[in-house]
Amino acid sequence: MSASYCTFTLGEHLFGVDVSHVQEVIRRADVTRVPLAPPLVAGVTSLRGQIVTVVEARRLLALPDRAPEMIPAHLVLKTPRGMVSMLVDGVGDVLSPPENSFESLPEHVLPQIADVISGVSKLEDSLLLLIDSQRMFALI
Amino acid sequence: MIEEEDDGLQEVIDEFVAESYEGLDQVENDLVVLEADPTAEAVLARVFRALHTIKGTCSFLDFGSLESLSHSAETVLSKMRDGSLVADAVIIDALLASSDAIRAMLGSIENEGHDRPADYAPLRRRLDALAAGETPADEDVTASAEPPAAEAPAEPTVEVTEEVAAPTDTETADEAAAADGADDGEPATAPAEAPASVEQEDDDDDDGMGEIIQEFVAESYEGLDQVDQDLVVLESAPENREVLDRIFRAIHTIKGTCSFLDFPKLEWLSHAGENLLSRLRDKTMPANKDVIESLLALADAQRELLASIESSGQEGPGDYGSIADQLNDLAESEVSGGDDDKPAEAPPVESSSPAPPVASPKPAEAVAGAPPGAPAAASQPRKRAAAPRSASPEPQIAESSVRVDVTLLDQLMNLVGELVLARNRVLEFGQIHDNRSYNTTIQQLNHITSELQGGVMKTRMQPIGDVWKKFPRLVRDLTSAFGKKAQLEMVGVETELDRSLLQAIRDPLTHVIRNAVDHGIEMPDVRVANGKPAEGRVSLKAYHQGGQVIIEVVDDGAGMNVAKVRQRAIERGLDAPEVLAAMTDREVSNLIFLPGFSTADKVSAISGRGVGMDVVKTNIEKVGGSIDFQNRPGHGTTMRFRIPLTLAIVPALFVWAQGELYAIPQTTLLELVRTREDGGAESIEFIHGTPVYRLRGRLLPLIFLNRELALDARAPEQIAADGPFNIVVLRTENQDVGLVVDDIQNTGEIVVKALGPSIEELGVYAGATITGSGQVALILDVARLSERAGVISDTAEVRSGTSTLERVAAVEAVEEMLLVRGRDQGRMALPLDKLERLEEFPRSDVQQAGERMVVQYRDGILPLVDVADLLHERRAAPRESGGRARGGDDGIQAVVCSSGDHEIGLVTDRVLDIVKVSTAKIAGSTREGVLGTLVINDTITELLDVDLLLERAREMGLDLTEASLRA
Repeated sequence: MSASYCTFTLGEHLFGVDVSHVQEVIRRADVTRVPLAPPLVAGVTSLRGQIVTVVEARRLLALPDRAPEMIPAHLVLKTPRGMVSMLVDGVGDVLSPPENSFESLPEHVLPQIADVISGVSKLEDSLLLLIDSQRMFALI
Repeated sequence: MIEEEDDGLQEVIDEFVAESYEGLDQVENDLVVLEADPTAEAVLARVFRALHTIKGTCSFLDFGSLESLSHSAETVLSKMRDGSLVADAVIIDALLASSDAIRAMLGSIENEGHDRPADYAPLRRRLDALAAGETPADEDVTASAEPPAAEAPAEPTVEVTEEVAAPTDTETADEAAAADGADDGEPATAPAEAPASVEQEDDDDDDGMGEIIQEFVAESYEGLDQVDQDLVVLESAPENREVLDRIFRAIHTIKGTCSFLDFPKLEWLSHAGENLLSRLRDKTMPANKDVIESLLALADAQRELLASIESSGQEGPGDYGSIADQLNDLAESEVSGGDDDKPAEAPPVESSSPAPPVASPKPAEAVAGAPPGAPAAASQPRKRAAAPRSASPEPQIAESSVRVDVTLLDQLMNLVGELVLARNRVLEFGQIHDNRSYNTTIQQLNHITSELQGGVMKTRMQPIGDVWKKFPRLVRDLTSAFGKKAQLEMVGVETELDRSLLQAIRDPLTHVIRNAVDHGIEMPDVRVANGKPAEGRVSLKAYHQGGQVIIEVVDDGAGMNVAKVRQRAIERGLDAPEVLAAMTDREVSNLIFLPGFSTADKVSAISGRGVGMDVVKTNIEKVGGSIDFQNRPGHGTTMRFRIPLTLAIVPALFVWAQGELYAIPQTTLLELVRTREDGGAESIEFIHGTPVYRLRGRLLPLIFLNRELALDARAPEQIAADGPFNIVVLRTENQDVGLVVDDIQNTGEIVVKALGPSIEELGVYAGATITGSGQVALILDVARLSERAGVISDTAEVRSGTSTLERVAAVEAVEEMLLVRGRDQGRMALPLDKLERLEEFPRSDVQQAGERMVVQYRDGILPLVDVADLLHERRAAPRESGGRARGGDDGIQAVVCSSGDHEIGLVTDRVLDIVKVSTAKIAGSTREGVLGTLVINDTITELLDVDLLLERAREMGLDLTEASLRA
């Protein structure tokens, strides 16, 4: 009964989002800027003819902006308000960490986003930060 | 019985209700037409058919109350048909009331499952009285409305007795079969009464009737195809009530229409089939093989007859007596078998009724066909019926159209949108790769795509008449409610536009028509006093123009009282009095589009509550349309809607801003302007910090796109120093604005795509599209953008069309003036923007008409008046009366001004110059007709109040309307 998480990286952090909310991953897509949009919105892109809003995960999770030379990947999410593409540094594997590995977020780790993180899972070599999809969708 | 088959039956009822509603829409429209033209045979036939279908189905579904009402209405119609009643207001009123009652009953059937929301007996009595040629007692109508009684001395009595019988019949015995008996009795008299007139009608009303017959044939074919299928289903599932109901309905509809269209054989044959079916329905007879066989034979025979009707208009010599006998035999056969009380009563009624309809029309038809009872080989018909069907020319009407699910069309539209985008991308590759055969293929793809796009868009097109159908009734109801007289004229009903747009314009149009009748058209006595016909006219016009649909609602009423609107605007504090006073008539008349504005003296139940025109405007703009209002005081108003043909694919202009491409819908585009290379900052001026550009003498407020999108943080003054600029001149609301962009790319068709909610909320973008290179380009919402920019603010005062900017400009900026010399040598200035043209007329062309001077001008007559005659006494200057202009033999110089659509020529002694004047230097006014004085070139000059002069010219009896005849 343990859920599967699609993992992605932002800087040195590893995040996981419920795989059932992930539509697909796109390596590259042109993003058109949207002037006047909130800082979170990186722009819009076309996904098979449909216009999809692109949000910057680093802004969403209060991390410093990505270096300009880094090319982000698109993690397309199915949100209640339609598809949203989230820019992440890289997309990793789909993991199903055992329920008993879940802990609450240590206080010193990313306190600014504690309410979006539902918990952490200790992997062998890293810490997987699990995102509460509903809370995240409320932000985007 | 009903409980167990509730689902199936409910479906039939739902379908019946939906169809009947549709039918009633058309009925109401037709009734109004009939009132205007009582001889419209085809229209009458259509009404009859619709009501008959409702009645027939009711009898089957056991809605006795609805049935008897529609029966009464039908009887009135049949009297109209045979000429014994003439469609006058009283009759049409009663019929419309019936239509309303039927609607109410349908509503009750839909929601409560019964057809008695109220007591309709009085209405029925009213109809019956009308049918009997009496003026209903409970109606306050004039005696003149009474139909010519002499024409129909005998029939009414026949009808009356029948009418008395019918309702009681159906009310007491809620039995379909019994109702059918009554139903049959009625057509039986009609053909018998008018054998001669039937032939007459064939000549003069051939077209209308022909159309109805064609429609009938097409519908019947469709119905019979379904019957075939259903019969087969019924054979394997005899208990399927739903299928049986459907068969019954199809056969009954054919029968009913036949009785009206005078196809006795087909009617009689169908009747026989219906009898048999009602036995099946009563479950007094099983749907065994024999029954199904004979019913199939019936369907074939009906087809054969239909084919003959389709090709020759006649039923042909075919003999179907044997089929009828077979059906009748079957229907009777079980009577002796075990059955309950109902069928025992029903069959006798039915078996006796087939005879008269056939027997009586026969002489009229003069066809030597077999009488109903004529014996024929009972085994043959099925085969004989089948053979000619394959040999005879195939029926074409039925196959020329198909019904398609609307969602499928929507999907197709989306796919075509995608294809257009893919095509655009491929086209761009073609520009890169210079390969001839590749490019040829691309061209082909291009053409095919365009045609496909056109084709699919056409499938979504519906004639605008579909929406207009209910308007004749609306106008009629309104006029009778107000005691006014008005006729609705509809031109261009066939004009097509996208169905989604059709829905969007329905309510706005209703509102505007309501206004036109309520506020526009005057009471008949007022109209007559004003020299107009007592009957007003509201015309609805639709036509295509430049990729848009134009819809005009024109009335010939009183027009709008501009002074009253101005007054009301001041009362409501919509703007400062002095600002309102400075507004032109046209600006004032546009105030009606402000929220909460109403000019009605008193609030009526119909209109004038102040909710309205702003909503109309918003709704029209929501679909990318625009609305324009023209007022002709004393002569009516014109409301002009411009609606895009379709929402999904629109032509657009692509522009650049900071390396990104943006699309602007071309519907708002007026022109493109590039400022001069050397102009630089000079070409852009600032008024109170707002950049403006002087475009042909008018101040055009500018929006720097980069700045507005926060892509360029510099102050406008700094940006303005850049030059030269590309200015896209756009029309928003009533205000033109110039959008300064980095570069202009090209125009093209774009497919509008929806944006995500978080971006849509910004209110700056109307959507997005995908460009040829696959990039997303945002579509600018120009109106909202200019609102943001403050050019058009949201406040009421500015919405009216004069922006803060323009008003500031009017008070403090420089204005261009035409400098003229009056015949007393005094200098006068006229603001250039109030003037239309300068003309010089040869003196010989000027004609004297009484006190007035006129000149032929552009297909019309232009009244001329000397400026001095319009001004009150001034410096003692020699002046001749009579308005004769002087100035030697070199012609008359006139300044053509317009007010509304009236034009007048102001005669001056000489046009001197066009000068720029700082309006801040205007000193106080010296007299009426003069706005103020100012010094131009060291000479004191009077600034004329053109609006006031025009007003005065009208007061002086100078008929300004003659100029409008040109239009």
